[in-house]
Amino acid sequence: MQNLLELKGVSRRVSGRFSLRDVTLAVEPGQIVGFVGANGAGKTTTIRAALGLIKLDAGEVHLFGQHCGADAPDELQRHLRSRVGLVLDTCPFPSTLKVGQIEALVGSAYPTWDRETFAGFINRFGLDPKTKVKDLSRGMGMKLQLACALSHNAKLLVLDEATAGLDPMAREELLDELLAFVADGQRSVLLSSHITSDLDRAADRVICIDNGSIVFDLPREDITDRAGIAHCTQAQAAELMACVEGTRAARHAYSVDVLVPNHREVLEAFPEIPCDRATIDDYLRFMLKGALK
Amino acid sequence: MKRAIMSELAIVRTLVPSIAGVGLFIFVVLTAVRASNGDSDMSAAGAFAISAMSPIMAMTSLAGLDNQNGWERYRAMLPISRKDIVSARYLCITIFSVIMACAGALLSIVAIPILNSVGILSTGETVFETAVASAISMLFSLMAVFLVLPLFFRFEHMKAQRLSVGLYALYMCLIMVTLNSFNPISNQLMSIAGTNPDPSVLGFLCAGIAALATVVLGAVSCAISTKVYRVRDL
Repeated sequence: MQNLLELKGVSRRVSGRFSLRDVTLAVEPGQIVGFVGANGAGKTTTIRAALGLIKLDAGEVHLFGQHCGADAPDELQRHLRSRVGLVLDTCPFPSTLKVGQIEALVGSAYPTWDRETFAGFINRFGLDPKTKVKDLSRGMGMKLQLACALSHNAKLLVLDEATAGLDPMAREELLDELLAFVADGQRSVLLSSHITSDLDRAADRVICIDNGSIVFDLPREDITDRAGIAHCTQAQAAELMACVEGTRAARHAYSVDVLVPNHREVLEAFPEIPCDRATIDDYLRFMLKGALK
Repeated sequence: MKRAIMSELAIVRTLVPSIAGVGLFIFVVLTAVRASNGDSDMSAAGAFAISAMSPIMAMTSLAGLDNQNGWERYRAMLPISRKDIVSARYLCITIFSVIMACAGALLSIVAIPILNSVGILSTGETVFETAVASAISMLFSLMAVFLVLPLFFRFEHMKAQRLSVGLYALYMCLIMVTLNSFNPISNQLMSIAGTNPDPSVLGFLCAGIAALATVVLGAVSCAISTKVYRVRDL
C-alpha cells in the first residue's frame, strides 16, 4: 500500500552547526510512527521539511504518493495539505481569539471541514467556546489543536512534541485519540516526542534521529519485545559482545550493561547473565550514548 | 483566495474593538483640546488621526500575531497558498483601513453639530472636506504600510519592525520634500484645476492622485511580498 509520507535522502543545511543529512523515512497507512531524538536532534526540522515549509538542498518529499516540496505548485500543495492535520507543542492560534472563533480561522481554509465534528470534539474535550486562546491551559490548547486536526477528514496527523508538558491523564487521552484515528488502517500518525513511554504504548514503528541523521528505524516490537539489556561483569560483557552482533555497551564502575538485539537468544546462550527486556528509553540511550562493540 | 480572506478576517475582526477604542480615545482628546481652545478650524483632526493610524495599527497587530505562538508556521500548513496569504493580508488591511476612515469621517461629521451646539462653530471644514481629509490621510498611511509590508513577510517581526522605522522616516521626508519644495506637482495640479479652483475639485484631484499612487504601490508591494514570502523558510 502507498506510503502516506515519504522522505528520501533529504538534506538541508540549517546553520553552521546543524544540518539534516540524508534523512529517509516513511509513514505507512495504519501506523503510528514515533519520531524520537534529543532536543535539537532535528525532529522539528525534519517535520518542516516533510511539510514543505523549508527548501531542501537535496532529496525528495512525497505526500500521499505525490511529490510535495516547498517548490511544488500551489494547487497541489493546497490539495495535499487539506489531508494533513498538524498539532504543535504550543497552541498556535492568535491569543486574542476565542475558542469559538477558531473555526472561522482554521475551518474556512479547509474544503472538507466538518462543523458538526468540530463542535462534537469541542464538547467532548470540555472546551468552552467563550474562553480566549491565551487563557487555555497547555492541555486544553493541545485538545483545541487536535479538534481542528480531526475535523477535516485528515489522512495523516503530524504531532510535533504535542505531548510535551502534558500531565499523564492528558497524554493518555491524546494517545487514545491517536489509536482511534489509525484504527481503520487507512490513516497514519507521525508523532514526534522525546517522551518515549508514549511510544511504548502507541507506536508501531520508532524512528530515531540524532544530530540531523537517522540513527535507527525499527518496528516497536523489535525494541520492546526482542531487544534486551544484559547485566554483565567485565569478563561476561567481553564474551557476550564477541559472540553477539549489534551490541552496545554502557560501562559502570563494577558492571557493564549490554544492549542485545534479542534477549531470548542471549538468555538461552548465556543463562548465567541476567537479561531484561529493553524499553524504548533504554534503546535510545544505548544507541545514542552506548559504545559499539 | 476566498478561504485565505475568510481566515484573515477572523483575526481582523478581533482587532476592531481595540483599534476602534484607541481611535475613539484620540478623537475625544482632539475634540476636547479644540473645545478648550475654542478652535473651530480643525474639525477634521479626529477623522484625520483615526484614518492615519488605522492601517499602521492593523499591519503591526497582524504581523505581531503572525509571530505569536507559531501561528505563521501553522497557517503555512493550512491548504492556503502563500500567494493567497499575502494577497489576503493586503486586502484585509485595505478593507479595515477604509472602514476605519469612514467611521472616523462619520464621527467627525456627527461631532460638527454637537460642537456647534456648545458654541464652537465650525467655520472651516465642511462634510466634504472632512471626508476628503480622512481619505487622503488614510491613503498616505496605506502607502506607508505598503512600503514596509514586504519587510514583514521577509523577516521576523522584530527585525522588520526595526527596519520599517527607517523606511517610515524616509517616506515622511519624501512627502515633506514633495509637498514643500517640489513645485511642478502643485503647479501641475493647479493647471488641471484651473485658476481659483473650487476646493472640492482640488480635493478630488488630490484624493484621486493619492488613490492611484496607493493602488500602484500596493500592487508592486504585494508582488514583492509574494515573491519574498514564497522562498522564506517557516
